[in-house]
Amino acid sequence: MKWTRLFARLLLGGLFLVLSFDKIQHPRLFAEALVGYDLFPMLTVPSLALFVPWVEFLGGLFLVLGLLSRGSALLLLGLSTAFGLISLITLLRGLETECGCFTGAEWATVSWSHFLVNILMAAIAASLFRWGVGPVSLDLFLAGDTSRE
Amino acid sequence: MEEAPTVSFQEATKSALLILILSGLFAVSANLLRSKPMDAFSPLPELKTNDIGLLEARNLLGNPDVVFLDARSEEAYRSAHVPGAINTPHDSLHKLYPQLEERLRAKIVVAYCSSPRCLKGDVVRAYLAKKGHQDVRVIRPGFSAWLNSRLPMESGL
Repeated sequence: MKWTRLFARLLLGGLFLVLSFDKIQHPRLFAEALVGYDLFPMLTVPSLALFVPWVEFLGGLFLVLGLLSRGSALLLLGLSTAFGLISLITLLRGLETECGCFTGAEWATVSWSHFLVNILMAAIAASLFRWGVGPVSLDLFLAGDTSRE
Repeated sequence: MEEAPTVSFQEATKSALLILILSGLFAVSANLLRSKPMDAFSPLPELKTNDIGLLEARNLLGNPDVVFLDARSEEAYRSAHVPGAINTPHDSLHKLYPQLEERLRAKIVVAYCSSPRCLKGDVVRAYLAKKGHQDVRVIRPGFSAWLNSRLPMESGL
């Protein structure tokens, strides 16, 4: 089971890392996608477009490395849940808007599969938070160092 | 193989907050390092030629020489649209055009989709340009921004 958790951790962390790259490079395009959701006050959109991708990047990186792992799992749980809720609200409102998942994909509109993927990611993050992130982690290395002192 | 000792929920929350703070610092630093830093509080994108913003579109509402075309799907149109707009989904405009041709002649046409990155309004503009319509504009921020800005709207067919 611990190897399954390691795999899940690398998968989830890696996914968030990859998803963040495009948005970090093109915050204006991500901001445009956020406008399409019609959920955020216009004034907050540019700040969100700058901030959220870095949360994805660092949360994903920390999880992959197994550093502050329970905290990063908690953070990614929050992100996945929020993205899932946003997808659900958008779908129920009948809004056709691009998901902003990959800002280069102009026709990637929000769909039920986006909602389900986010729920799946939230479930993985929740289980990592609850049961641990598996072996081979920086947390383990640092805990070992501390105990030797 | 061993695993790291589990930490309390409180510790995990503190770690999550730390990651959030670091993210903010990275976001600010990375933005400042850009050749054109993004203004974190300014409204959105620069408009292209023949694109119009929300206020200009709002001022054209009710003008008898202006026709609004909603390039989204029928479902999206039914849920909400610009008052008086005609639903012309971008992929069926060629079928609807014969019925609309007279109505669009010598008018300013304003097309829109849901968001700035949705190009359906541009598809409508390109099609009408080929048909000889000279003045076709696109509401670049899109209908979502229109709604967000509490501009007039109606629903139904």
